Amino acid sequence: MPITFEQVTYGYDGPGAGTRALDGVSLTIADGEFVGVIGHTGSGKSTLAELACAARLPDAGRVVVDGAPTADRRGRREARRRVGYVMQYPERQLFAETVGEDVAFGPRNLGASRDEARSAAREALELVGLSPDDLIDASPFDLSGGQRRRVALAGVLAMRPRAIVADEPTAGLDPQARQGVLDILRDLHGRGVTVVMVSHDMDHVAALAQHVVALAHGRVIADGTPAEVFSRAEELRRAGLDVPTAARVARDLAARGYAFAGEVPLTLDALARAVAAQAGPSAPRASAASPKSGPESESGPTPELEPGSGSGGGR
Amino acid sequence: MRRIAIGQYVRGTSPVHRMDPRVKLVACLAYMVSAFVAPAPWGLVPVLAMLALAIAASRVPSRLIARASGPLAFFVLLTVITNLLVVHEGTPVASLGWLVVTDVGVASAVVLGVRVLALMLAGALVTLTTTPVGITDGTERLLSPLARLGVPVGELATMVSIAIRFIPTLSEEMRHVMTAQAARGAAVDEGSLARRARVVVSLIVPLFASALRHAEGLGDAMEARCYVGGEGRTHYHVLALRRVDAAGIAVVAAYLAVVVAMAVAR
Repeated sequence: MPITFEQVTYGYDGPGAGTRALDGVSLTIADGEFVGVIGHTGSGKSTLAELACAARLPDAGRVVVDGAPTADRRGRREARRRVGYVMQYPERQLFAETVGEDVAFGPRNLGASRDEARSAAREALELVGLSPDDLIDASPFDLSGGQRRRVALAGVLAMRPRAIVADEPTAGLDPQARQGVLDILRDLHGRGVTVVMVSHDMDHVAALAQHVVALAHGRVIADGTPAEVFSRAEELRRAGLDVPTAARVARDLAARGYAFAGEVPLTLDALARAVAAQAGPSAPRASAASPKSGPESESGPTPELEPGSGSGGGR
Repeated sequence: MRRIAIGQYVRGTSPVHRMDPRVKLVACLAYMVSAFVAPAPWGLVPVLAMLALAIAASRVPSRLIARASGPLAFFVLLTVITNLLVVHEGTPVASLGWLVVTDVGVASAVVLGVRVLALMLAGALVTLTTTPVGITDGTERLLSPLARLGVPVGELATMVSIAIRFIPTLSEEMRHVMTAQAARGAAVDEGSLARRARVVVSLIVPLFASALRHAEGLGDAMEARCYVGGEGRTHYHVLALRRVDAAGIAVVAAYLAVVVAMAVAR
């Protein structure tokens, strides 16, 4: 279900007054896409997330979810039902006495019976890699930080949203838990769910997103594929953003005489393959397997170098 | 504005802003008393004149004054309506069944309405022109004689200023949690009573959890910086009376003299 922004303006001091969190933003999130929204603190990316799931309504312009503008009552209700919202530090929304009850809260509110809600909760817990049998009766306040974040995610997924908007879903987690959350999002995307991930970690965005939107001062400064957006390093730097680690390393290597065929590598895996390809026939197996493979050939030669696994960012 | 703003501090450099919070608090208190002892109707003239002068000197935009007094209008209205309906002396000017409004009732409603309005605007003006820290510091200093009686004035002041400091933090977090729960189909403004009660629980528990989290973190941070409280604590901002305070005291004293004279002369 596509989500479109048409000349959306939003200000925290009400229409027409004060500074604008978003100023004339237009963009399209296609059905089934994985979109990364990047921007410096205060660039309006959280506001964009809240508008996309109809938690806020635009002062001017329209947000259209699945053909219905969120300004209409019906459109808003449908959007809230279909677009899951994962706030920053979502574990702060946990409140019930048991994990099961908390995860079932959404389905119950949508009118599911107790049994239906419970089975939706079990399913959602499995989706986020938690064992329902072990945890469904535990108190959410007894879990570790990473587990609590997973439970909160499950609470959103139990409503079976067709799209999910996650605001800095990895903030404040240790590297392993971070990777876990990214894996969940990738898995969801693989199941056909549209994912919008707000992040300021360029490596995460490069590893997962098919479409990147960069914001600065409430305006879209770049909108396109990761390769397109991250090729504009200078503009991003002016907006307080950076390019992924791999692209930075590749640029430094290029300055020392390495020549990269095709697009600049954006993940460490892609970079490793590109460097290996340059290292010549004496290099180990990666280059032997695909001697001339550019970084854009997304079929990795070895299983552990599966493209976009994000292992570079997390481990 | 999409946040709570009853008398929220408005940054400024006017004489009223620069006055010592102690002077403002005492002057405000004296003014509030005077607004009630000033004889009606002519005594209200200096009362309103003083208020107008203070507001003008504070240079707080009238838009903000109006916004700050919005929630107070309810109390003023309540006072006026109660007076209209309860006073039965004098000649009736209007009646609706057993409800009778008399001319004396109208007069007393207007007078009391003006008094309450003056009182509330004076209070709002102090909070609009004084930082929360300034207010707690001023209160602490004014109440410091009570410390001799064993009242932990300093600790109380610290508690109050910390509480004030965390209002925006907690309300911001609350807003996010409300958004998140609403996205899970739990909006406070729809559904049956039982369902709304459950929605309230889904907001209260996270609020308490986050208040406790902040309290723990802040406690550790204060201890790490050797906070012990109690006697001997000095202040970063030392309150001192300056020329602007002398001018303020002179104006308020003159005003009080006028009101007292009018009250005595009657």
